[in-house]
This record gives sequence, structure tokens and C-alpha cells, in this order.
Amino acid sequence: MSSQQPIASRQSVLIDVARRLSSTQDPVELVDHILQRSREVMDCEVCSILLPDGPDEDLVIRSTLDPINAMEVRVPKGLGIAGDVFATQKVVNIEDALSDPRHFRPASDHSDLVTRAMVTVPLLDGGRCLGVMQAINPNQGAAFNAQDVEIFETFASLIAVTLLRLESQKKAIREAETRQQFALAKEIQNSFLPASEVSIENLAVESFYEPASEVGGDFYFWHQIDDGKILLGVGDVCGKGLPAALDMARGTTLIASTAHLCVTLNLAEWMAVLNQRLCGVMKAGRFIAVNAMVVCPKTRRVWLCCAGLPAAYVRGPEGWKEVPAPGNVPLGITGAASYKDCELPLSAGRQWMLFTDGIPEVQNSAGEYFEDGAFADALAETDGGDFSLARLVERWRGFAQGANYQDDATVLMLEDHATPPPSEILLQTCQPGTLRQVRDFIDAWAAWHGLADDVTGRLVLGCDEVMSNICKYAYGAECGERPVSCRIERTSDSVRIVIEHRGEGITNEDFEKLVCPPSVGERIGGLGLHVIREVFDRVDFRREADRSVIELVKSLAVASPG
Amino acid sequence: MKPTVRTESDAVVIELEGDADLEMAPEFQALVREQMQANVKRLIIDFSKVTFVNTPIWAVVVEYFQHASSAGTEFALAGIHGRVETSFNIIRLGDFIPHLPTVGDALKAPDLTSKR
Repeated sequence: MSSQQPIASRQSVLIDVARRLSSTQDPVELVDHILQRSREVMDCEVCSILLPDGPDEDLVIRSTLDPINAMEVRVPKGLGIAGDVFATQKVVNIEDALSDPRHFRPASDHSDLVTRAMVTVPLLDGGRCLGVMQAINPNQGAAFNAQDVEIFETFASLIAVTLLRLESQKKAIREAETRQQFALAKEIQNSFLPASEVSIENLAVESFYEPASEVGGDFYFWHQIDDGKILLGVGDVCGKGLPAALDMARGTTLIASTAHLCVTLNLAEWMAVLNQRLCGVMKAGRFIAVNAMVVCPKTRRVWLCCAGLPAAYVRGPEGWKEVPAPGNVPLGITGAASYKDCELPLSAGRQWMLFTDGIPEVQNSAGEYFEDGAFADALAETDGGDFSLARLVERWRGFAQGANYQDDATVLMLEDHATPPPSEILLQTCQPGTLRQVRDFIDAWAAWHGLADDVTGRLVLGCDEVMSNICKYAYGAECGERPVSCRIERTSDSVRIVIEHRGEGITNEDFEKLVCPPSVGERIGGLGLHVIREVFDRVDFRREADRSVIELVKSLAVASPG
Repeated sequence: MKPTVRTESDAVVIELEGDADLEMAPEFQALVREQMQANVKRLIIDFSKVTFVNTPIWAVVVEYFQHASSAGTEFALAGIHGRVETSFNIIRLGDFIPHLPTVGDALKAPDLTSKR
């Protein structure tokens, strides 16, 4: 039994150690201090602490015996009395350690220490063992007594609290560092994204971007190309976190560096080039889904190419509807992939929307998907006739409230602010010199509606033939007012033109009799009616009240947005 | 724009410009009839600067073609492109009337009657 120090003296040391716990930040210094003070109180040769380290959870010894610290002695998991106490979480107090069957001396321990009596206590945090502490060879007596064990357990409690505090501090530091790194990564990633809003001519681009974590694999892009066209789109890199963020950076950089090719390449060809370049640099198993769009404000045409993302939406007079663009394989999978795009008039809708699957596929707390109905409801909401991206985002966030976002989410919306040209023209006096006004009217209307130039040319020609006939035959030499109106409208798959005048018109029967196939024979006439028949798919001559009406319909089935 | 007439080599060239429509037709017709009266040996109508043409103009062209056929003179159109070509194709005048890419091509052609 060791000779006991006065209890008051031992308690004084404990209080001193407890004070030190909150004032020292250096863990090694603190543990060494506790070990030194516990050795004093325990009045023994050596005090040690053994803490698990590494994936194998070997116990690494820190001791008041400096040579042992220098040797970095490790006890394999489960071996020795220390290993036993670590596993069982029970105190072991033995008088002759060398005779104990559990005794184990690590090969790395070359110290002169000869262990005799030894008390080993677990460092506990509830049911978790943080390590063990040992007092070896009491200076007075052959073994440690119950009071020694009790005071040593108290030291062990202090050590456990200290270890927990240090562990918590380390974790907090690690988390702060990680947060800082992610904040930096997010800042870097955002530098690969263009401004979230931009106006180019009469077009406004607005975006919403929300990664599921600090960094994400989604992105959006817009680039104004030299010939005035705009390339824009959204992308979604497979996977999450930093690898996805790095591929996102790669994707946006390649898109930016190849955007100028859209001057000479059509959208599908550009996508094929982008795909080949990505295939050359992306790791196997990684790919990028992209939905891209080229808009030409001059011709008012739109091209869409969708590779692995939900289809684009366009908002026309009847609300939002999906654009039936051909589907393509995501980028970066195979360089042999070919891509198809579709072409539409910009006037197919005032607003266009591209988005990644994080929008429709987000789930609420009940496990329902946004696309199950809430998405359509949100798309149907308008504010005074205008659809607002902010409102959609609000609905999307509200839907997902309480549930974890499952994917990055990105939306890119294009809004056409161009003022539509008039859809009707009235000529008070239909004369050869005023017919140009009708041609210009149709040209402007067709351009705004993005009709192909050959279609526009035919419409202009066909209408001019009608107007010329009205001028020559319906009004003839009539003086005074010679009014003619021309109204034009677009349906989903055709153009309808209605021309009205106050002169004497012809009937459908007259038309059939007068229409003349091309000939260089003696008769010259009826060619205009032949042109009208060739240009339009349906022609109707009729009389309504005091007006002669000519209704002309041209099918646009091929160029329709579906 | 008014149609203009010039002589190049042994040919008369009538050049149209801008929109060739009902408004231009009477003047064009008068000019063409002058060439009929003059009994020119070779007439070329240049459409290279024309942006639009309709059937009143083609009717004048056909009128001259009929004259040329009976008079045995040479006649060709040149520079038909764009919307003019659309109109030209609808009327199918290309089946009957010689037409060459440029006035230069028409001037160099040894015999325009053989291209009908």
C-alpha cells in the first residue's frame, strides 16, 4: 500500500489542475501537466495516458517518462492490460503486473522501466472510452490502495473532460476551415457563372441558381456572339460536391471558349464539337447534361438542343408548354454521338425557360415530387398576365420546405420584350404606288414572327398579286376612295391573311375559270391567280355585306413549335 | 427606281432595280416595246438589283419573249436571285426563257436563242 498524502493536499492539486484545464489550449502541454500533477499526487514512478490512434485504434502512449514519449510506443488494439481496460471500461489495480497474463510490453518500448504495481483506469465519456490512464510503481508501498484509485479516477475524469473539450475544439476548427474552404470554392465557382440577369436588345435573361450544398454541378450560361446571336443554356454535371464543381468549371470554360463557333456552326454542330472536347478531358463515367438555345434577335429565330435535361418550355398565349425538341445523349460520354436541334420562331412565346432536373424532381416532406402537380400550378400563376421567375422560385422553395434539397437547381428564363408589329393595315387608296406599304407590312409582321425568308417571300408575293388584281380589276379606273384592308394572324400551324375591299370581287368559281397555268402561248393573263394558288394552301373569295373578302391561308406545319 | 437602258457590245441591256411591281410595269413595258420597235438583235434584262418582282412585270417579259420568238432575235434574263427567283420559279418561266447568272455571262453567250 502506498503511503497517502493528506487528502487536503491531493484536493488542492486537483483544483489547480481543474483551473489549468480552461486556461491551456495546447493539448500536449495540458496532458503533460495533468500527468505530472497526477504522478505527484499518486506519488508513483510513472504516469501514462494511452489514446487510440489511426484506423487500427492502436493505443499510443504519452508518459511522464520522456524516453517513452520519444520512442512513440504503440500498443496494438486489445493487447496488454491497457487494451483490456480500454475494451472493458473497468479499472484494473494489480500488484505484480509482470505476472499478469495480460501483460504486454511493446517491442518499441526500450525504456528501463520495470513495471511492478500498476493501476489502469478508463477515460470515459458516458459509454464511450476515450483512452486509458496508468499509474505505475508507487514510491511508497507495493501497490496502490483504494484511495489512490479513487483520486486517479478523478484525474481520469478531468482528462476525459479535457480530451472532449479538445476534440470539440478541433472539430470546430476543422468545420470552420471546411466552411471557409467551401465559401472560397463557392466564390470561385460563381466566378464561372455570368451575371444572373442581363438585357440584350429586346431580350432579357434572368436566372435562378441554387446548389444543393455550398458548391454544385449545375450551371447556366449566356454569351453574345459576334453576329448578334445569343447562346444560352443550363447544365448539370453528374455527381455532387467538389468533383462536380470542378467539371462544372471545365464545362463552362469550354462553352465560353467555343461559343464563337456558333457564328458558323448551327447549334447541333456546336454541341457535337463541345461533346468531343469534353470527351477528351473528362474522366470515364462523368458527363454533363446540357440544354442549350441560340436566339437570333435579327431573324427572330430560336434553336434548341437538349442533351439529357428536361425539355425547354415556352409560354405562348395559351400558357406554358413543353417544346418538343429532339433528345440527345449528355455530353462527355462518347465522342461519336451526334446531336439534333430544332428551330422555332421566337414569337412562339414571349417567355422561354430552361431548367435542370433539380426543379421538377425536388421532393417535399411528404415525398411528393414538384413535377407531380405543383410545378404546373406554379407555371399557371401569373401576376397581371406576366409570369414571374421569382414567383416560381418562391413556390418551389415553399414546396421543398422541411425536406432536404436533393439536387442542384437552375432555371434560365428568356423574355422577349420586342413590341409586336401591327397585324392589320388599311390603305385608303389602293393604287400601284401604295402597294409597297402592304408588302412592307407583311415583311415586318413575318420577320417578327420569325418566319423563314422563303416563306415570307411567298407571302409577300401572293398578297401583292391579290392587291395588284384589286388595284387593276376591282377598282380599275375608279377615282376617289379605293380602300383595302389587310389583316394577318398566326395560328399554331398556319398564317391566315384576310384582305377586304369595296370593289367588285370575284367568286371562287371565277377564280377557277381565270387561273392560268404558266404558258408562253398567246394569252398573257391569269398568272397572278396562278401565283396565289401556288403560294397559299387555301384561298376563298366571298362577299360579306358591302365588302369583297379574300381569305388566304398558308400552312406552316414544318416550322411550327408543335 | 426607273428601269434604265444601255448598250453593251452588240446587246441592249435593260436594268431593273428595287421592287419591280405594278407601279413599275407601265414604264418597263414601254421600254421593252421600244426595243421591239427598234428590232434589237439581242436584249438582256438584268434583274441582279431587283428585290421583288410580280406578275405584271413577268407579263411584259413574256410579251417580249413572244416577240423575240417570232422575230428570231436573241433574248435572255440575267441575275435572277432571292425572292425574284422564287417568283420566277412559281411562274415557271425558266422552262422557256433563257436565263443566266450575270449580264456578263449573257453577253459572252454565243447564241441566246439556243438556250431556250
